Formats: sequence, structure tokens, C-alpha cells
Amino acid sequence: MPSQSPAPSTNVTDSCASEPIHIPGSIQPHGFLLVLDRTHGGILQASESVRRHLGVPPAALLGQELAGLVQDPDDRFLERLQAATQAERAPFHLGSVSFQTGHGDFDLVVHRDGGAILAEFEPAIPGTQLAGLGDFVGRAQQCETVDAICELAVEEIKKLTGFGRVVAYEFNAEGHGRVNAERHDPGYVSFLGLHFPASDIPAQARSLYLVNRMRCIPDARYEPSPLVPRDNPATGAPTDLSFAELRSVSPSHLRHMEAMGVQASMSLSLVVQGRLWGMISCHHALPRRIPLAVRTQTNLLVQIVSLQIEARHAQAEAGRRHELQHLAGALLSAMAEHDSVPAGLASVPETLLDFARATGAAIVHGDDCLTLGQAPGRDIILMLCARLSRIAKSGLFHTRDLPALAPEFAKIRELACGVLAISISELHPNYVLWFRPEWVRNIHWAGGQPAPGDEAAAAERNFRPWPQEIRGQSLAWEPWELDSAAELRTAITGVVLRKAEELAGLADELGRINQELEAFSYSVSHDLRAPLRHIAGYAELLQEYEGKQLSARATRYLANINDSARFAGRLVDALLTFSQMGRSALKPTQVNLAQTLEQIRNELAPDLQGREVEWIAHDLPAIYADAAYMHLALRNLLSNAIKYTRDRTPAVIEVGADARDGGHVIYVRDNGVGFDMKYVGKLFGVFQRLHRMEDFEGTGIGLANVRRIVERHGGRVWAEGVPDRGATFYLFLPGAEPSATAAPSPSKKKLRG
Amino acid sequence: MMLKPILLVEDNPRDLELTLIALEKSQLANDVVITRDGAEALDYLSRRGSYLDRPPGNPAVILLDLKLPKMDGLELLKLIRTSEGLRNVPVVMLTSSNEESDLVRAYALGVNAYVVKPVNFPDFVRAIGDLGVFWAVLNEPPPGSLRRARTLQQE
Repeated sequence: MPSQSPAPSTNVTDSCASEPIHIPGSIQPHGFLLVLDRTHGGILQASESVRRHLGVPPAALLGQELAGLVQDPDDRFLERLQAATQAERAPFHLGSVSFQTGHGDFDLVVHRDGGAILAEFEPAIPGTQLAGLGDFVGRAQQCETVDAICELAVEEIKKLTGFGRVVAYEFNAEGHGRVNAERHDPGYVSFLGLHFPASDIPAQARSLYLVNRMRCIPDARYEPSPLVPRDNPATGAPTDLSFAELRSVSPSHLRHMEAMGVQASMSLSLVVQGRLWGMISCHHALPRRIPLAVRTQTNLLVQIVSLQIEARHAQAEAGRRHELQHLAGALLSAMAEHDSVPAGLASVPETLLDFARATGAAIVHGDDCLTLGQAPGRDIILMLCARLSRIAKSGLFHTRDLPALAPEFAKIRELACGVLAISISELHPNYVLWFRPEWVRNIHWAGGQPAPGDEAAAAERNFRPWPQEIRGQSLAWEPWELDSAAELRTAITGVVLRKAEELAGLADELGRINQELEAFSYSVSHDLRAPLRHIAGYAELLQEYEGKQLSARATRYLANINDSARFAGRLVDALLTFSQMGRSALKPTQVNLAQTLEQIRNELAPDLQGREVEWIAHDLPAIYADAAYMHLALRNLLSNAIKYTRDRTPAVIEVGADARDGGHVIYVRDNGVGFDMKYVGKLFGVFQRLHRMEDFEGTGIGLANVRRIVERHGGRVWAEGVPDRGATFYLFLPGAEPSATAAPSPSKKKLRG
Repeated sequence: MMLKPILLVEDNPRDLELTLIALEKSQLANDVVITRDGAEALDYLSRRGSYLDRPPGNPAVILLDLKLPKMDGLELLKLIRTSEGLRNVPVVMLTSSNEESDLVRAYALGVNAYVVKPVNFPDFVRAIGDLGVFWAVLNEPPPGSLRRARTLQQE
């Protein structure tokens, strides 16, 4: 019994849990019991009540053959008795019998227990009218809820049996019963909505209810009628009365009825999927015998109700499982669309929460912890995961009561009293966790809570509503939720593996494409350059050897051929450089950009002949990068700046840097022809030009080179420009290495102006 | 004794013609022996096949194209550098491309110079002329080669 759900009357459990209720040695006296030897029908035991029903003492019957005592016109009574008891522990209504000594008709129900036949006789009730069940099944099928089915059932049973009050109740996971349907006559108190504690029905009584699904007590104030002799002489042991309808009732149960003000009762088990799902209890303030035929009919009705409930449960479970499959599918496709499992799961937070009907979730990937919804803090989640790695060997862990795992979790029970966790890696401490808050609810017990062991209080228990706040647990994790979580886990580990395989495949493919590209550019560099060289060479030779005979126009054409061939050669060279830049490995070192700038200015000095250029050079940092490539990138930007300020006097070229996001933004600004921002997207593409060739010569590959260099350093490039007002080009280079982001020497300030 | 010849290994007829014009323009006195692939060049160097009857002696310099049929420039270079009688002959690699991997391999195999043929013809003439003058005239060849013999003859 869960201690966190304190239920009234726990003492009842204590006093009767060990009571051997299946061998009370006596029966209820409204009928009588004969224990027979199955082979010849000889009477081994008889209940004391034969005195009342047959007018003979039990001892007078012992040793006699039953077939010889009853009216047996065709002399086949023993045969029929044996045929009806082929199966063990399966009570069978053999019909109505009467004794040769008179005393009226008896309904005879027999069942076998080992070598013995238990024959129960009840005086037949004359004039029994059987009402049909009508369209009960059809009406039950139309009920939308299980409670409505129970409602229908109690109404029907009350009509059939005439009991003063009929209630149905459903057991929860702890075994407490909640009354979910009731019909009662005036004068009976209502139990609807109340909870009956699990202790009202001790464990061994529950297991008896599971096998013997109907229990009748026509008069709680009966005098028990002992079996004579006490033990079965054939076995020397008490006769097992588990399946005897007349079996005597446990005293605690009688006290319970007394306290409830009930003298007659009938209980029927609702068994769903092999489990005692609930009960239907009928109460009457006065003694009440129900004819066997009506009991049989009621029993049939309750079995129909059980099947209906089972069908609803199966349907609801199938629906929920289907929904879970759908959600799992959504989660998996999200994972497939993202680079990592955590990123995929985090992209569909609602789906992830819905999957486990959770209020919060966390995705733990090593030391990273991403939380969704209402989740506890990162530290306590990581602490929980550290425990999970030791306790959840199957990869699945769930609890409704996290504080029970360790007291330090008590403080998060409003967020995470219930936890469902799956491990999503065989190697690493990676988990997906779902959280449910503590489930706080008020219930009303049927009756107060007597002190343990207080029999008198139990007897005086009134059944008025007694409120209690229930806490300490989350809503239960349903079996299908656990199954789906386990399936999701299998699928995720599969996704992880497939991602690894895909990556390996991609790497192979990339390697192959890279090789092809290398072969392509190799071939271009050799095979395309050669004919260009030939064109230029022969054009030159033609001019040289035959120039005197050529017209002025032919001479100009020849010069154009030569120019074009040479320009094509430069294009090929530029393209090759660009391609090499993508392939060759970076060799990063500490690069002093101020020195690099100085070198470039020296190299470009020839282009500055006759130009008036005003340089504004701010302090430049030392960065960690490939020196040759950085040189190339800066040289491209500076030579562009010089080229596009050709018409400016003075040309103003400004170079500076700014610290940002742990890296550096380096910029080159000029007051040249600028560009229209609507073409900014084309600026860094290969062979993209924004100016006419005759205005500004160039291969159109310089800025593509700059972009490639910067991107290979993990940075990015962008530009701003205004037509005729100049342009600024920016390079952002991240601080790739701790040493790389070394600040400029102390004497230098970050940026001037 | 005549000047030792320059061995030109070139498969492309246009490159061949342009290279010969460039050599002519540099006014070198050396003969130019033309072979069209690595195998033929090896025949010449080893005095075998159609070169069985040529006078003995190594060329002053080998101008070797990189991409050649049958046996390419790098393969030939490797054979030359591992052959007892040829190891010391200067080899200049003439190629269309500045492809880094070729350059690295050529130097690793012991090339004496590596020249990317310029697209611009005057530059090409200048490059070939400079090479011819340096390797066939200015460079002090290993003992037993032609210039030493010529110098001795003149003395």
C-alpha cells in the first residue's frame, strides 16, 4: 500500500489480510452444502443447515449416496453429476432437485474440487419472473464513456434485483475504489464520487473476486452453519470453499456491512484484461435473497459490461498508441532534417512535450542541457542524469515520485515530480527527459479514518464524505507511453547511427568530388592555357614578320587578338588560384596585419604612379590566420580601392579594424565610384562585375577570392556602397584560437576615428 | 667537337614551333635536338632505338615539357636522376601550369629549374632565351660535358 496515499481503515487490512477466507469451515445457512465423493456420490461432509432444510442432522447423511436421496426418475443422477463436474472449479447449475423426503424444490449448483464434488442447495423461490436484458448491449455500445456504461449497468441491475442501492466503482493504481455510478432508493445515502480505500478489500479477497466473480450475502446477521465433519475425511483437510456461493463471510466484512447499515449485499467483479478493474456492489437495508436465475442474469450483464469496458480501453489505448506513433514520426523527421538529434528535437518543442503529455522536457547532450516548457534548472537535471547512468541500465527510466529517488529532488517536485527519461546514446551520457508536476488533488473518502487497530472505530465508521488532499506523485506514466518512449529511443539511436553513416558517406562523396575538381582544374590549367599561349604567340609573330604588309585595320585586329588571348590567360590563372584556394590547407600563424598592409602598399606602389592618394591607416591587430591568404585578400581589397578611386583627387583609402564577438572586423573604405546596394549580392560571386570592362579592367574574381579566403577562416564578408560616393568592404575573422585573439600591444588603442 | 646540343622534349607542334622560334631569337649557337615524347627522349639519351648511331655525350640542357605522351616529364626526370650516366644533366621543366603539386614533385625529383610558359609571347621569348643562355652558356657544366671540351679546344 503506498504510504503517500494515507487511506482510512488501514487497520482492516492488517487484521484480515492473513485471514484464510477460502476455508472458513462454515457456510451461510440460507442453503446447505454437501461434499460428495465424485466416484460414487457418497456424502463426505454436510452443513449443519441440512437440519433446517431437510429436517435431518448432518451426521445422518454422511456415507449415504446422494443419488439415492433425491428424486431420480431415470436413475442417471450420478452420471449427470459427474458430467457437470468434468472441469474443476467451474460451478454448474444442475437444475432443480427435490428430495424423496419432500421439503420442496432446491436449486442445485455443483462444482468439483479435486476428487470431491461440492453440491450447494438453495430453496427455489417460486414465481421468479425473468425480465429480459432487452437491448442492453446496443445501449451500452452507444455510451460515450466508461462511466456512462457503468451508469447504465447499475440502473439495469437495480431494476433486475430490486436492491436499495447499486454502485459501480473503479479501482485506481493504488487499489482505491472511486464510485463512478450509482442508483439508490430514498433513504439510502449516496456514495457517488467517493473513494473507498484499498484496505476495504484485502488482497486475498481481491484474488477471490477475480476468480469467483459474484458474491451474495442475503443476510449479514446470519448464524454460520459449520460443515460436519470439520475436515474432508477423504483428504483430512478443510474443504476449499473458494467457489462455493454459500461460503461464510469474513467477520470484518460483516462489520463493514453493519457499519454501512446494510443487511444484504451482492458484489460482482468487473474484470478487464485479466485485472480486477472495478466492482458493482448492491446493498439492501433489509435481508434480501435474489433468485439464482436473476443472479445468473445479473452475472451475464456484468460480463457484458466488463467486455464493453475492455473494448473501450483497447480502443482508447489503440488511439493513444496511434497518436504516439504519429508524434514519434514527427520527432524522427525533425531529427532527420537537422544536423543533430538535439537540434531536431528542439525544433519541435510542442510535439516533444505532447509525446509524453509532459509539461516540461530536457535534452541532455554531454554537458549541454536544453530545456523546453516548464523544466527544472540545468544543474539538477545534470545531477539526475548522473544518477540515471547508474540506475537505468535498460535505457528507460520512469518514476511518479522523483523525491523518493533522493531527497534533494523534493524541491523540484512542482516541476518534476514525475520523470520519464530515455538514454539516446550507447556511449555518451545523452538523455531526453520529460517532466510532470506533482499531481495535487482533493478526494473524498467514504468515511473517516479510524486509528490503526481500532476495531470499534472501524465498526462505527460512518460513510460520510471525508476530504483529503492527495499529493506526492505525478500522473501515472501509462504502459503505452513507456512503450512508445522505448521505441523512440530505439529509433533515435538508429538515427544517430544513420547520421554517422550518412556523414561518412558524404565525406567519401566530397573526397571524390574534390578529386574530380582537382583533376578538372589541373586539366584546365594545362590544356586551356596552351592554346591561349599559341594564339598570343602566333599573333605576335604575324605582327612581327608580316606586319609591314598588314593594313592598319588588320594590325588593330591582331592587337585585339593578342589582348584577348592574354586576358583569357589571366582569367584562367585567376580561376586556378581561386580553385587552389578552396583546396589547399590553411597554414595559420600569427599575422601582423599592420606589416601585411605595409608590404601590400609597397607592392602596389607602381599602380600609384602619378596618383594623389591619402591613406588613413588605423591600428591593425595581430590575428591568427594563413599569412599568404590574408595577404592575398587584403591586397585584392586595396588594389580594388586604388582602381576604383582612379578618378578621385585626392583618392582617400582608409583601413581599420574593430573588435567584435571575440574576433575582428577589418574594413577597407574608399571614396571611389562605389556601387548600387541592389547589386551587393553579386559583388562576391565568381566572374561577377559591376562595371564595364573598358571603365575598370579586371577578371571579376578578386572579391570571390576574398570571400573564399575569409570563409575558409570561419569568417564572413560584406560590403556597403553608394554610387559615386565610395565603398566599404568588411571582413569578419573569428578569434579561432586563444592566442589568435591576442589584443593589440598595450601602446595601441583599438581604433582611432 | 661541336657545341653540345639542347634536347627539347615537346609533343605539341605549336609549342614546338614557338619554342624553336624563341630559341632562334636568343641566338644560341647550340643545335636543338627535338624529341616528341618521354620515351623518344630516353632513346636519345641512352643512344638506342633510332638514336643508336648518334655521337656520344649528353646534351647541354634538357628542356622538358611536363605533359607528354607515353612517358611524361616527371617520369623521365626520375629516370634521368637515377641513371648513372645522366644524373648530372641539367633539366629545365617547361610547363603550362603553376600547379603546385607538379612543382613540388619536380623539385623533389631534382629539377634544376621550373618555368611556367607565359601566355604573352615576348615574355615567352625572353624566358626561353634566358634559360638557354644560362644553362647552355653561362652555367659551368659538370666535368666531361661540352663547354669544358670547347674551352679546352679553344685554349
